[in-house]
Amino acid sequence: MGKAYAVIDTSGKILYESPGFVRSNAYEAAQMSQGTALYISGEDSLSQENERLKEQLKQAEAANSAKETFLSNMSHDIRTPMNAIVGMTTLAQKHIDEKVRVADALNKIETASSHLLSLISDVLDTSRLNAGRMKLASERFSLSDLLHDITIIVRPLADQKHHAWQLIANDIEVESFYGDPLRLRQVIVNIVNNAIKYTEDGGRVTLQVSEKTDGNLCHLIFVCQDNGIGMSQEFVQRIFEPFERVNNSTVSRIEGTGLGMSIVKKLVDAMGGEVSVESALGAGTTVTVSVPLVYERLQPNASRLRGSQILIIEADEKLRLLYERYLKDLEAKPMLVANATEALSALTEAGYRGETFALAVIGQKQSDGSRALDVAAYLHHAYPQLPLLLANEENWERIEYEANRCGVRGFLALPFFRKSLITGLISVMDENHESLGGPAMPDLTGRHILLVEDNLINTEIAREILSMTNAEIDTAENGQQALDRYTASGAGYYQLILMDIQMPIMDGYTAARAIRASGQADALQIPIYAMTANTFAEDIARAAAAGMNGHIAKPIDIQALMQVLRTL
Amino acid sequence: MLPYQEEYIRNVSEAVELSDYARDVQTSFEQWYEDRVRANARIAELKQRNTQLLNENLFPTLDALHSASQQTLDELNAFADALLDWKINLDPGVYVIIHDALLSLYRVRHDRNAIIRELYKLGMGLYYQRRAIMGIKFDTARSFYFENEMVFAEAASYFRHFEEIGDEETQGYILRSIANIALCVRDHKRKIAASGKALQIIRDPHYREIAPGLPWDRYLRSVHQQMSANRSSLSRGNLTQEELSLVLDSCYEVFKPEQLSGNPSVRWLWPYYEMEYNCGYVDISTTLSRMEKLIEDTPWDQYDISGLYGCGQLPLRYGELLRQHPEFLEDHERRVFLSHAYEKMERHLMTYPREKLSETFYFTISLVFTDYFETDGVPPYRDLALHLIMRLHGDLYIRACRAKVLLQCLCKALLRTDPAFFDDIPFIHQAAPEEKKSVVLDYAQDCALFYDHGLRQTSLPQVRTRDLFQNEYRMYQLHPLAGRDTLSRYSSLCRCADVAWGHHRAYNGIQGYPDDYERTSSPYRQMTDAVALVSWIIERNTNDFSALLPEIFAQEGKLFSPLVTACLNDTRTLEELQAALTADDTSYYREIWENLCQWYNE
Repeated sequence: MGKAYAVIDTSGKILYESPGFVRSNAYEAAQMSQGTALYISGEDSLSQENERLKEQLKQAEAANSAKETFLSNMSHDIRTPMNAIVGMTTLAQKHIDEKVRVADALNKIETASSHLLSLISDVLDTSRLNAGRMKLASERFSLSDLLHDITIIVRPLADQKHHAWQLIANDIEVESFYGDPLRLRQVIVNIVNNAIKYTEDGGRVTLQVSEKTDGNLCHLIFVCQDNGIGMSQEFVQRIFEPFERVNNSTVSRIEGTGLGMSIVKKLVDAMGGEVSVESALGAGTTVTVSVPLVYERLQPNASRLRGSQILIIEADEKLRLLYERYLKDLEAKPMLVANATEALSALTEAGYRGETFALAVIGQKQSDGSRALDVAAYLHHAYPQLPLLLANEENWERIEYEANRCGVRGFLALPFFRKSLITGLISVMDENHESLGGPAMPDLTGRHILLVEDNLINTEIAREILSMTNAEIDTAENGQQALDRYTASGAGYYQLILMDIQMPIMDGYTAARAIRASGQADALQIPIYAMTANTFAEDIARAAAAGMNGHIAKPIDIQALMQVLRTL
Repeated sequence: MLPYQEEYIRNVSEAVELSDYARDVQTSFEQWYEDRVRANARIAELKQRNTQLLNENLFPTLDALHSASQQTLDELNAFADALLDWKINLDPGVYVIIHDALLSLYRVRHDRNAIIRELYKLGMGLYYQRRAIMGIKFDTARSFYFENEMVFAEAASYFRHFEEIGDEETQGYILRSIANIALCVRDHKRKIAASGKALQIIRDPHYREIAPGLPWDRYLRSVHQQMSANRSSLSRGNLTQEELSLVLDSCYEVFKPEQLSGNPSVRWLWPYYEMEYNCGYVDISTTLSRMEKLIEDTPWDQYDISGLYGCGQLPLRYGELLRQHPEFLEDHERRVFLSHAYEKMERHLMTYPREKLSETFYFTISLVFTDYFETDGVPPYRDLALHLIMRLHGDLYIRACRAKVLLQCLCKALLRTDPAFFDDIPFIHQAAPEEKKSVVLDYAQDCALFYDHGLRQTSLPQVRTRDLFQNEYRMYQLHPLAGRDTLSRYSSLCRCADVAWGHHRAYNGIQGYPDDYERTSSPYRQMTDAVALVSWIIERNTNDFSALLPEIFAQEGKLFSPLVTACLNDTRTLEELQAALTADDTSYYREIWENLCQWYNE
């Protein structure tokens, strides 16, 4: 007969008693400690039982001690940001008239509050997990997006500590999964953050991602490796216990609740996966997480890429190989160059042969160290009709504004895989209503543009460019005519006014002011852009003062004009 | 050229000449002052006129460029060429505007050869225009360099069609663009690669046969000169064998004809010596001795390129080597030599004849402002900088003096309200209570004189003769960073660096520039706030302080610190500021005159 046992929950309630289980005083005592699975064998001798009870008491005391430590840590960890909040609030009140000091205090309060919130979230997560109240979602997610998000979160901390951070995700075939991406992200970010925190400045942290399919399931395997301070074997044994933190002078200032790895373990368990840790003092740490997930192999239709010339500007060898492999599989024609100079050369060559590139991908690394957005800006200037896709591990939201201004039409989050690459390329091509390789003009069918210009040839050229957008173009020869047309056509008729400045009868500034003051419903919103060769800073300021939204250089700068048209 | 173009060029030339404060300095002060006031008025008039000429003539022409005749295009080209003649560039800004417009025109016309030509010319214009931001850290000015590089790179990319182009002039532009990419990159390896590619092509008989009429030997020498400029990278230890051999070969090729001439100029001797030093052929001690000989052998009044080299650039390099090898400064003789070399440099530059001013002169001045080695026993950077500013940027100096009086007045008022007002500034906090006021006022003086130090480049006379173009305005907005970067190098002025950095940034951190100035992180913020207000008042160019008050109060807590504006509620302070604003500025002119006279009367 095996050992009899009982399971007691955190409130002391008996959840389960195995056959042969005998209640005793020792059990009653142990019941006072919470959450312990208690084993009592009905066949053991009293002395053996006493030994076991002693051991259990020791464990209970250890658990109690860990809780004491936790309370002490929490009290310190909570008090520290609270001190900042209380102190900074007092300072802000004292200097209420000095806005910048108040702003500074608010910033510090915000930082402290965020830290406090993360502490509380950890504690709540632990509590939920312990109580079995944590429910995992099952939604479709992209591995590429997941890894990109992880990079965005962990890179700033890695950069701050001057670590070499590397994400390796080669040979990924399955990209769409069903699972809880938020919780999976939480697990991986937690592990990587630990690696970063517990590695001295200038270290190396690597996250390697691989897959192993098994019937309907695909095991996603994350291996996080660092060359940090490592852990003793004794600590490795306890790492998944709550409230445990490495106690080491090197990292004594590292903040944390000691709950992170416990949460990781519980989340991975809940996902049906496994987590393991290998480490030695001074020799770094390797954490491996494997989670089985339902997957789908659907690939987007890539037929449109077949035969398309695609310019890839990327100096990173591994990424170049990926682009080449994926695009050749899709029967596209990739042209790989390493920097903007080589790109210009390729574009000139193609132009000379009368060929066009369907689009250009501006990669993460340029061999000459140039910024990707500078490259985009110049290519957009020289080849305004070339659609540009930016492939980067930056946070798109952070760079979107500047990227759009530089002519970037789409974003491919790094790391990318076959499906995300196809989706990224197609999305940029879709934006272009023309056939592949045709001009990258926005489709303005049904929109009306008022072109105000007194020079006939300029009008002709502008009309020619604008007509490629399918917009309806009306013209006016001076400011007065423009004003008349605008007011006569009614609100909402025109979506854009392109205004020459120096014109007979009424100049562009006066006309813009008059339109803004016309009282028509859209008078204050309709975009008005100056088209002028006057490039004095004061002229541009004057155009803004007259209520114009911007300035396009003359002779007509196609790039600037396209940029404006794309905003419509 | 058209009459307006000729007039524009005459006006710029006149303005450049008038802007030299050393002009006619040997007359009496009264006469000089009278001439000076007249000259300043004339410069203002010329500026207005030139702006008008561009507005009424050039811009309408560019406006209608698509319908312009060939004659108009030729006239524009001739006008642009006259503005950038490589000796003293009268107006790189207008040159850029014209060639940018022509490039747009030819892009629409799909005229390949014209596109290549305009790309090359635009690249050269941008290169000289970029001089305005010399001294600013590369990362800050990266976008300007990159734009310039890309323009040359686009022209260079047509090299694939070199044979088919068939037009030697266009082929020449392509070759020069390939070589000029080296002018726009900072990394030595990339510079060497760019020049190396140009050398490879120029030496290839195949291309020489295709375009026999091109001045191949001149190209070869120019590229060797460019390549030899990479000699400082020889000591870095990261060059490949091939890169090393390219640089060494060019250093020798540049030196060879000089050696054969029997009387090599310092301009070419030093690069060769420096190459020998960087390769380890000779030690630092020998190199310093060689430099001393070259500097000594150059007369202080040798007013030509070699003179600028021997009296200006070489002493700066000598100082740089001593900075890198401070153990040699322990030798008293060397310290004395450095001091004398710097004094000679100052004398050379202060007395350089106006009619000989050149691009190389202005380039040397830029180097002085950024590369001077301030150490014990040599004249402080502060004094040297002020002297050069007095001569070449007299208007900036006068403005700074006006700011000084206003700022000191404001500081006194702030100290009356709160004696500890500036105590966030460590050296003021440490000052004894009875000395605090004078410490603050001395500091205020330096801050007023140097808060616009970054403007010394962007306000070269050539660009002061019209309004700024948009891209120049972007460069102008970098002047706080140029000021910060320069001042932070010198112990005599580094405490003014934050003031230069933050004086155009609004108190609330929303308006103004540059974005990276964080007021709350700077211990000098209270002085920066005071300078920001004074700078704003000076720019208003008015004598009526009370008229400015409503706007100042409206900007309280936005543009201006409320702690500073609070003292403007005091009648005594207002009266003092009004008096400071209307103070007679003759004494500032006299300071300039006296200083300049001493150079010419020596």
